[in-house]
Amino acid sequence: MKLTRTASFLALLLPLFFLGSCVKDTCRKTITMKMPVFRSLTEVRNGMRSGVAQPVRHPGKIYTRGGYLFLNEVDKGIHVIDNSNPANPQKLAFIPIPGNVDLAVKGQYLYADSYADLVVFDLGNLADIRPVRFVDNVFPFRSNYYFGNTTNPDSMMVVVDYTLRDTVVDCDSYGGPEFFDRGGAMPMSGPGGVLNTAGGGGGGTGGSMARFAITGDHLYTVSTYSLSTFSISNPAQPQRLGERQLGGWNIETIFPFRDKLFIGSANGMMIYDISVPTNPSFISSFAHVTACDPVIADDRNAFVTLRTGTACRGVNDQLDVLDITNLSQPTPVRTYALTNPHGLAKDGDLLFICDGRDGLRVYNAAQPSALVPLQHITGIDTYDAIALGGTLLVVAKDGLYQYSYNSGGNLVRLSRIAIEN
Amino acid sequence: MKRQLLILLLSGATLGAGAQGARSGPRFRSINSAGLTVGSYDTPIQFQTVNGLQWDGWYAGIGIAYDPYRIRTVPYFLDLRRRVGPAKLPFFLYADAGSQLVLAGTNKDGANHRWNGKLYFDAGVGYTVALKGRNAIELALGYSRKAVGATVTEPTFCPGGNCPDNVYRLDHTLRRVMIRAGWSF
Repeated sequence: MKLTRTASFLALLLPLFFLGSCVKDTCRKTITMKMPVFRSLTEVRNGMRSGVAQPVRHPGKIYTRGGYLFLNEVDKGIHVIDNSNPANPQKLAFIPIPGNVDLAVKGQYLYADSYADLVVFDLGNLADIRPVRFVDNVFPFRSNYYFGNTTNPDSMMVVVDYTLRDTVVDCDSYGGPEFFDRGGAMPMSGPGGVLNTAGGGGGGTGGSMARFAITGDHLYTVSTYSLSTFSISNPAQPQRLGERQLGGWNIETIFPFRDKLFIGSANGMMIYDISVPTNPSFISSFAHVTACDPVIADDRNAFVTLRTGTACRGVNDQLDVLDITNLSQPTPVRTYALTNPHGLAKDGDLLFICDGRDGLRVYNAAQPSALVPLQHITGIDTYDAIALGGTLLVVAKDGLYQYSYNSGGNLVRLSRIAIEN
Repeated sequence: MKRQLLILLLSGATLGAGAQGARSGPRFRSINSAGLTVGSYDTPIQFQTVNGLQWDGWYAGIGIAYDPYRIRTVPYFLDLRRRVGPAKLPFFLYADAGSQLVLAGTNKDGANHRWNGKLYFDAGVGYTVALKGRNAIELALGYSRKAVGATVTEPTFCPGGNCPDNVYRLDHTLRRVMIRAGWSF
């Protein structure tokens, strides 16, 4: 009797299997829309004058010159910081430069990109920094206002800011259903940066993530696919000498050392000879797996970090050391596993590696095939560093740190400029 | 029609409560079941265990489940049941409500997901097949809903830059019909 009732109950349930089509899953996606704020190119250029110091919110690359730091605020401009006392850096001014991500300094002139343009600033009077020259559309990979034959700066509109607005949309109508039920995925990589001590002559020091490099009377810049050469023999009037296509290497960084350029790309490292500065010539390349790869070098070795989890789609977290005594044939020396390495810097035998969320690592690199760990500073999420003969600058997620260090690699914190949100 | 069905069920509950006869004290009861989660996406199997106290026609317990439907979660919830109908037709009503832990991965195509398990809800009607001693088979049919949120962070591709990530929020509401069979003791 019981079984009969149970069977009847189960029979009643059978049609319910089809109820699945009666119930629907929903997904709402809340997006913060960035609505661009436009100004004419004329207004933008008139506004590129130093003003009062601003909070640091999204720091990018750093350049040092004498006792000053020039810190990029991504796509916004450049902070000018008096660092004559690293224990007490003082923000002096902010130069608004929409679309700025790269910078370099020679003498009293600052070179900065503003979207597709190169802008030269006179640093002669830090209280009143002004642009002295604009070189139009020399970085076309970031061009967003040079359309057609338009040349009138009053009618060319530049994005100077964004306003935020939350918008709720159906997931299916915007970017797919966004469902998944398992872990593991293609890691991507994000931007990072490093500064190094071996920066070329003629000016200050940039980082291993820099895309601008100055050696002597020449400024070299890289786009994602090309290397451009500018003459700055007249520093206030840069002249573009040429552009060399570098192929589909997805170029990221440029590092000058003596008469060589080390170019980091998502696919490997390239070495160019600039003994004839106006005509960089290819020497060799070293391919690696796809990843972001800041690179620095000395006379014997190149140090390349590869990382996961960023926009470069890397799958390895490691430091590759290459032997470059024969520049035409770089050979791997050793690979070191790291947590999430970003930028790196070197001073003598000391090697500083920003290991992302795992902090800052200091090694004795006298024997590149057997790096000796000296110190590991945790608790900061690092991505950019520069070593300046006893003072180490570190850009981290929560601020710009400065440490003093000795030949034994012992770091002592001097100061921190906090990031404000 | 829905209102009539509800009135019928509530009437049954009242009648059932009156038909319980002799009262007894609370006793421990464990209900362990597996069921099909029938939704618009697929029909995976959910496992759950509920443990609590039976007192006359009422049962209250706490439960935990493994729910792989679309986004893998572990719901944890309060379970309330009420026997309804005459003793010869031992139906019961049940309702579960709680929250959940999300087991889904945190990375997909480079986007990082920070999950937030929200409301888990399941309610329906069941039927008890008594076996020897205190053992019984419990069959149930219900409607289940689970809500899961995620804050997604996607890196922005800008070589050499330090671009802020792209961040957005997802709110999933997943609705299913539950068909469950279990053993209680």
